[in-house]
Amino acid sequence: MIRLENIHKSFNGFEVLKGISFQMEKGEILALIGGSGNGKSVILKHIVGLLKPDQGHVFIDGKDIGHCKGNDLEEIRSRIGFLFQNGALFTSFTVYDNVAFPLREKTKLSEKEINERVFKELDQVGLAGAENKYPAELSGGMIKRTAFARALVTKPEVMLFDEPTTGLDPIIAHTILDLIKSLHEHLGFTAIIVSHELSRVFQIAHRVAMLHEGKIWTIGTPEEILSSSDPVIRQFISGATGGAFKLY
Amino acid sequence: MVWIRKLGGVTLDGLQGMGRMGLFFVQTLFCAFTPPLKFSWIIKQIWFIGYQSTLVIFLTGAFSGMVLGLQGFYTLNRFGSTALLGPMVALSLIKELGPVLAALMVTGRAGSAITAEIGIMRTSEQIDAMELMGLNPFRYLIVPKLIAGIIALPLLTAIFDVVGIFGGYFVGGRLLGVGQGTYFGEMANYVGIEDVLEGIYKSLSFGAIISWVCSYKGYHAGFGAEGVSKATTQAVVLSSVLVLFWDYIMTSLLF
Repeated sequence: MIRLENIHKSFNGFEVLKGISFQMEKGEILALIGGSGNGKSVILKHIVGLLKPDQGHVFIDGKDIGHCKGNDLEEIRSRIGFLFQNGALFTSFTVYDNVAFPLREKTKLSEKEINERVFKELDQVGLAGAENKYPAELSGGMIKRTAFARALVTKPEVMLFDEPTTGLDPIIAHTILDLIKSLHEHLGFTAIIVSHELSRVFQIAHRVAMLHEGKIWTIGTPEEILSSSDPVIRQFISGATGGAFKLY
Repeated sequence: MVWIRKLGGVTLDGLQGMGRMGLFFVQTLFCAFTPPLKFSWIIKQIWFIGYQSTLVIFLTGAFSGMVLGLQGFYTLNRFGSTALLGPMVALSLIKELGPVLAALMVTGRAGSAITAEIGIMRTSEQIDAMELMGLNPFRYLIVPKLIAGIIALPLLTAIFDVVGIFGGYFVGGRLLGVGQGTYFGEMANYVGIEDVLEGIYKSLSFGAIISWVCSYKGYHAGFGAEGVSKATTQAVVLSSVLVLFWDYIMTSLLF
């Protein structure tokens, strides 16, 4: 369903991605791990076409998103939900309007149908009763859950989660990851999760890809990654300071 | 050789920036002339750029007119022509000061806010989120501001002119003794529709310049608070300079 082929990307002469290749099947959950500043978010932005690779291709169901424009690009994007690191909620809208916005603008649903869909999604992410609040009145966890509801409301086939648990306390972080797991079981979307919550994310993901020095250092099942003897992987998982892992 | 290379680099950067701004304007115009137009977003922007600027325009217009009345009276008094105070104040305001000062005040009040708003939306990934929903941010963020600027500026300029003319009358007429009939009567004799049109054309184009430049700077704001603050400063400076530059071009070529 998603295939990345030899993606290279530089910013101001600094090469962040040095030939990223991997592919995913429909319904699969891939955890993308790696040090901060290694380019995990950059990979997600390539998948939705917000960034274009200097070299290489990103295919979504066989279509090269780097070469899609106009309606083709819109069609692909309409099948993808993206949870931004900071939520990216529209600050002048209430929670309700944030979630309703893509439905109002992209579908011909009546306001009654939109109302039902929005309340269903808010209920699903545990935000029933918060619909009239503005983003400035929400906690970090509520912002992420609102953004999650907004991403889900269009029923995407692919969900990309950019650090959905960063900045949250462990309980809320686990709640969010559990939510991803249960919604995946319910809706069956394909997902990539960028996260540093390794223990929890290893329980959810079907496969784990580790990004290091601009390349996919390793990719495999959580069990394979956990049993790896590679010093870089061992150090990253244990969080030990000093060693083969290069910090950025 | 080094300084020639540097000069070349700066020139190329400048040309690239101008090209990007030009393309931004063309893209905005394309979206403005193709459906759908987002009327509720346009109305909101007219309220913000227009209605919320009325107080500052009222105050600026009043004091500009009063100063013109005062300076004009003493200058014309030297030549025994105080009867022409009304036309002098009106023509100064309608043709030049009204459109330019109103534009500069709107740049400071609304233009800076436009840049900051779009810049924060850019850095907090709200614009990216909009794109990922398959929505064109130009239709929601840029076009409404351009149309609102073009509608609001002439109206604000009209308020500025009227308030300024009465401010000039308050000083020249009430305080310094020029008769009401003389002040307004001579104005009717000397101010023609072409003068009013000149002011309207100018304010229309200034509205477009402010919305265009301030939106562009916000849309391409750098990272974080520093990026947004730098973009806001650049937007205000560039808009103000372009307003004055375009004012000169319009005055010298068209009128």
